[in-house]
Amino acid sequence: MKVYLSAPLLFLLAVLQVTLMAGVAVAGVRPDLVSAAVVCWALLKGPTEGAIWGLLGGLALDLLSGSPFGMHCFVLTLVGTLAGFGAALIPSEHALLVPGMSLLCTIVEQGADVWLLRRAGWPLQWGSVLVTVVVPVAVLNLLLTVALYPLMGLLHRHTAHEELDW
Amino acid sequence: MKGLRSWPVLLAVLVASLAILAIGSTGAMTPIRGGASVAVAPVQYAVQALLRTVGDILRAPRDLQMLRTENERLQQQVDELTYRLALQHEIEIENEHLRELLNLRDQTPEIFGPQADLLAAEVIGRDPTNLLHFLTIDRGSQDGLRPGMPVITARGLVGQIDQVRPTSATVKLLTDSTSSVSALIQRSRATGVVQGIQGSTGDSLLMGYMPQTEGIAQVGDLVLTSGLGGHFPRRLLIGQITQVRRRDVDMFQEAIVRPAVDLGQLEMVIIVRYFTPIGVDAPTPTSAPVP
Repeated sequence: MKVYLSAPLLFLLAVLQVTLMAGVAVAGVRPDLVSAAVVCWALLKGPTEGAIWGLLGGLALDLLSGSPFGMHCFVLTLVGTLAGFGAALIPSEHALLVPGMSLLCTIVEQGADVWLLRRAGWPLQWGSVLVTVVVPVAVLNLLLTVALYPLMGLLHRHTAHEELDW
Repeated sequence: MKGLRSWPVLLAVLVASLAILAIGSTGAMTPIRGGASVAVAPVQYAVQALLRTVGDILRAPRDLQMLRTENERLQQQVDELTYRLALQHEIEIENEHLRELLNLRDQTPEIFGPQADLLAAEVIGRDPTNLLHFLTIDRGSQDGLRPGMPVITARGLVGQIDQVRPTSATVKLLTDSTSSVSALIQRSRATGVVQGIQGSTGDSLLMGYMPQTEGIAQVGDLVLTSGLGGHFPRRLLIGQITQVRRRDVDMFQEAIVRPAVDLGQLEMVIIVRYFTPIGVDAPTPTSAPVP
């Protein structure tokens, strides 16, 4: 998919993340729409496109967030790369590919977020964050990713002939 | 390997993300974020308004389901009425907010001082991560906002302005783990500091640094701002104590406080652009609190 199509799509997802998703909080936490989209796309297209989607989606979130600038950009690039490598190593028909990579990527994403926020001065404690945020978000993201994956598959089929370029 | 034919691109993207993070940590990206927010804020505002309208319209027909089944002939009329009802409901909510704002203005000489300057703002977004407790509002530096200004509703304290952009600003909620407010318990007048709880999902606060004296904090006590430090007006309601933790081995006792404001459901807030800090008799325009 061309970057001039990917960028607005990810920006729209980021806007929905800060508006629509605020209303679907479960136990005080919200699923991460952009992260789920990046993981799905990386599983379908591999690490390079996953990383580019992570970079673009992260930039959009950084513009809308109060967090240190670049945090989402860096973390989602890592997540896109990781999911892409996961898809390259695990057969695509494996039933646990999507849920497994979603869980792993959410844990890596939240862990990296906490680490960067602690470095930036937020007094977050690993133990309490794990129980109150990471585990619930991982479950919600898993459900969201499983639901989103077929839709991203349709998008992938429509754009299969295009390599993402600038 | 799938998708790895262009590994130099992957490498470049990874390096770029790291560079953005490094540059961002120096604060050099702040003007870019501010500039981008000028374009982003209206989009956010529009999407939020659209979602609210759609939500209202979707909810209203459900309430009228019985009426619709009873009389198919009136279907078109019901739909029209439903739409009008949703709009009217929005107007009622807005009226309620404005009425609360008017009530608040009546109280301003007592709480904020004689030259209080309040500004209403609409919530247009929330922080994308679950680790931070921020809101985005539709007012910015063009409206005279500055970091550190208190943000309230008619029910009590919400937080303070954190980052200011030309047409929008982020509000650090009381429940963020880096938030702290000087507070006092209304009944006993004991003072302490109310902070966000690390890793909390945003439904409770921790009041600490209270002396170990027995009985100064009890379940049900109201917690107000003390005004000490000059960052917040005094006598603003913060919340109500739901649990007291007092152990002989600790230097201070702590209390869990439930915020007076439902921070998860905020649609409108009020920014205190100017108030008379505690102990200042003759305020001047330059004496506004600076964080």
